[in-house]
Amino acid sequence: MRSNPNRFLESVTSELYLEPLQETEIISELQAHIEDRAQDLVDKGLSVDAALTQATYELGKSDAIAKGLYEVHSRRSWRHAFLGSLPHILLSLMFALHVWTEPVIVAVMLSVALIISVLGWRAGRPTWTFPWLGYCILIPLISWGLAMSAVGYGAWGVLTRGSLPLDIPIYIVSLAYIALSMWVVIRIVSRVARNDWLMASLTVLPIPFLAYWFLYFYNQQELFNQSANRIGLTLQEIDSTAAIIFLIMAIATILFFRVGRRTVRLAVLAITTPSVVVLAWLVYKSGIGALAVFAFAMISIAILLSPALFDKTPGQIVRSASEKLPFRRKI
Amino acid sequence: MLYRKELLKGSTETVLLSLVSRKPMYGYQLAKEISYKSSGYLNFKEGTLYPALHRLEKESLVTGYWARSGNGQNRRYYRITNIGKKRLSSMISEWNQFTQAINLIAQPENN
Repeated sequence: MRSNPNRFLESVTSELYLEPLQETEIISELQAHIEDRAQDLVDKGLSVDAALTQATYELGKSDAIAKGLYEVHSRRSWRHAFLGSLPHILLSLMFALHVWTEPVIVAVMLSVALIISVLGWRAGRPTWTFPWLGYCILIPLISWGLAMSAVGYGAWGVLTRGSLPLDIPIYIVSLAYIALSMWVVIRIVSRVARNDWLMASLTVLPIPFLAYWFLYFYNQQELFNQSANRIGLTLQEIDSTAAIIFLIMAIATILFFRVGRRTVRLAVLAITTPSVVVLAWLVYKSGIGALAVFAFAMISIAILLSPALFDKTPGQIVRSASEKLPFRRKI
Repeated sequence: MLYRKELLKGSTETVLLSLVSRKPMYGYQLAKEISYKSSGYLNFKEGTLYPALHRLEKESLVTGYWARSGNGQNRRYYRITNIGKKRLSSMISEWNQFTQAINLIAQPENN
């Protein structure tokens, strides 16, 4: 039996994963319910403590209430789901029409994603803008990869030839850039994960596949010339697979927004991410072994679940609930 | 008891909309009224009441707003909307047909 109304309300707060304003309203409403019921019980002759205990107990299980309320408030409209899946659909189209190599089209797509993300960020961060934000995160991530390769190239030069192949300032700038870009990405993800870390997982959904895709092209540098034929695939076929994969991500995003249950949402993301990597591996046959692809799939799941690290800590929950509390003993 | 719980689950919307169609009410007031009007037969527990109220609000069947209650405390009241009134009317008509059909089947035959 939950005897403490404060603990009960803290427990509900910890499992709501909603906007702070919504959480405050819900907690105030539940608090009012406990107060009213306890007052009635005191009027019937119970002590204040016994009345509060009984009132809290009668309200039911905190996790059942939180789960029910999360389901109601997190489920989104079809319009919301469509807007959220739109960047994946556009990417799918870019690959289906084989226009992803056109710099103008890529620049337009990234600009649109950036504008929507910035406007969304300033307008209270509607959740449908998060998948767009995922593609904006790619910009610092790609440049981070390039900076890393410059540093790696330098380290390789030192090991094999005993000298740096590039000037020292380039390495200093690259290292500083790596730190800065990682800081930017972590900061964005932590802000998105502040209310609900699953939203940050949705944001990073395309990153594991795109990382695999970049690695694949990195390994197949001559793909545009002969390599595609050598591995038995045309560039068009490779594009078709990418188009299907982005379409799968779009469907997963729609499901995510339309389903209210948290566990189902988590399952949708956790199944989609490694599945598209394995699908790409099966079609591309890029030469890496099954064990390597298994490791990559596991890393994908780890990336997907990493926003959970930014989830509210018990201390934050207590602080957050304390702002809405302390329980008003007006009886 | 389980059967009653299932019946209540299926008619939560009807019960809540019926009550707020008479006058705006807040959560605890609704819970008390349901228990009182049903002579204690119906009781909302296990977190059913608030998710149900919020679902009705999300579907625009009721509107929630904060106002001072009789004892001077702020309470979140729920008022039925026009969409809610229409839904309630169709629910009641459906319910009447349903109970009538069940009664016809369940009552003993008179030979």
